[in-house]
Amino acid sequence: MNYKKQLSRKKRDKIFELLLKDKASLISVIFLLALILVSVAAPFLPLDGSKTDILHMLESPSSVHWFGTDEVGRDYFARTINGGRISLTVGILAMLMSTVIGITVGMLAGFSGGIVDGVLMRIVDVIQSIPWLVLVTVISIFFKKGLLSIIVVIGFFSWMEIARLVRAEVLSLREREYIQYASFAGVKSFIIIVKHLIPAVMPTIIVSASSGIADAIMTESALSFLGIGIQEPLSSWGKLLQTAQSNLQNALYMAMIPGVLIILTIFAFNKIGNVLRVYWEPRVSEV
Amino acid sequence: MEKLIEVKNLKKHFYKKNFWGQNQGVTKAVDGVTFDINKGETFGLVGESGCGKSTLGRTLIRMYEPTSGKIMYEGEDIAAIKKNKLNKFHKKMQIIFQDPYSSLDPHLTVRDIIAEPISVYEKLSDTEIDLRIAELLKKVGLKSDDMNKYSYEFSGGQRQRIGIARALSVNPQFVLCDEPISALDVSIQAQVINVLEELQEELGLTYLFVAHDLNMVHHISEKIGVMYLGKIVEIGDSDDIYFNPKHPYTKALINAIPRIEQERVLKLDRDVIQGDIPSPLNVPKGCRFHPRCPYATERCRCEEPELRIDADGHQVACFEA
Repeated sequence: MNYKKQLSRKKRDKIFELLLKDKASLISVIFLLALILVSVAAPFLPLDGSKTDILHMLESPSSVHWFGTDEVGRDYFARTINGGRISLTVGILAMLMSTVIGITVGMLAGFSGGIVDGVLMRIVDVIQSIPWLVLVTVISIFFKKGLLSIIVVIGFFSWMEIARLVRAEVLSLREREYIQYASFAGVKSFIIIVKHLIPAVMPTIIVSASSGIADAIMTESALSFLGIGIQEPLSSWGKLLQTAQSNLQNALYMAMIPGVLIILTIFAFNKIGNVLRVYWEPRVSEV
Repeated sequence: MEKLIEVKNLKKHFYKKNFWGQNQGVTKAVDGVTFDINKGETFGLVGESGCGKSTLGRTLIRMYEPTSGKIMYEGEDIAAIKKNKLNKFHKKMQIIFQDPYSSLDPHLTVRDIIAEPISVYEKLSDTEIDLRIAELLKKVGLKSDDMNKYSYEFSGGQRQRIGIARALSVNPQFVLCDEPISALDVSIQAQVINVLEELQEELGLTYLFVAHDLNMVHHISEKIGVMYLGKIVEIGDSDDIYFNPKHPYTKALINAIPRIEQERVLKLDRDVIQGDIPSPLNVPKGCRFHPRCPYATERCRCEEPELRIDADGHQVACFEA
């Protein structure tokens, strides 16, 4: 339909305009795209991060080993790329999981109000009142160790913040006249949520989700450090950071490389989150 | 004249409950109101802020649940109908809001805003909806191209026109105008009023016009009801109320209108009313108006006056009038 075409063109123009105006966001997008591309392509690249070579331990970056080698002589470049795959997977999937749960609980609580709200928010209180690390440690003992269980554990115990934010926004949105009109006109609750409420809370969700990716990556590092995260021979950026600690004096690059990558990735996600938020907000056009 | 709506002793109380669900207090926003609205005419409802006029309007169209009383719409009591069976009445009764900013979703285009009620009540194809919306937009004085824009691209007056188009999109008989002009500039107010009047003539609409501007209400209404603290204190023909008010509260309201020509000011024996409207949480005993009334007697302090109707249909709730 003509008018829909016009609309989507208007929206497309807006996102390009935003990206071109803010160079940092443009670079972030390019960086993340490159990172994702490399991560997806990693299995098909001639990289072997598991072959040990005791003759070449802790070698500084060179033309043979771009990122040097680790304490058992494995190619650090390959380990970093493979680690990035896992860190990104954990970050994105755990964020998606916690966001979906958070939105659902927050919407239900805010929109229904009354007893439903009370019960759901008390559950949130209870989960939030237990020290996070203790909870996750205990839970992960019962799970088979592996990538999936880490994602599930992180996703399952980090949705409370989003739920609270969404609930608070919905409570105030519910009093807006356009929402009241919709329910007066007999629009079904589900459609009100999808058509009016979700778009209105989207900016909040985007911001919280983009920092959620960062949180998940950091949490995974912490879990790996405690030995309940990623297991050898798999690696993740967090895991690499932890093993680099014992060699800080003679191989500083081992800590620098994953550290800088984590910082850049988190920065890029936050930048893009910001662009998406501005893109979504109808009246704001500056990043 | 044929009656479209008869309201009988309608009440809307808001209860303040504590954690255990016990009542902590009750706000009697609408406390026993009886009046009729004739087909094709405009009933103006005036009163101070907080007197319950918007609540009365919204309870009347079942946007709020009535506490008790009857709302007869063409002879059928809609106060007794279950909430999920109300759709066919909501198609006939629509609402225009006061705030043209919070009443339109900023994330939707004008087309989607106006199409929302249509899609609930009627099964139409996208093209049919587009045609109807283009026609509606022209009717309220906007261009049909405007449907692709977002509501924030319009000014307050234009947004109010979008609100009117949305209300009219399902061909209602009755429209509650909930202070539709009080958020607009004076120059825009007249335009919106003209649009409302033209549409009324063209489509034979009935309006309940809620406002606090007596001048405007006098201009647009055939009948006026004056509300004070949850009750109607005076009902009568528009000119009758405006030029010959009987209730001291109405007199004070009319006296409070700033005028250029001094001689038109009604001769009030005593000063303008003092003080604020009392809290509806704690309604004064006797006549609700007595603490602020310059004419209050002993009787007013203990007995509540009912609406009395006189020969020419003018109703007043006052012992002294």
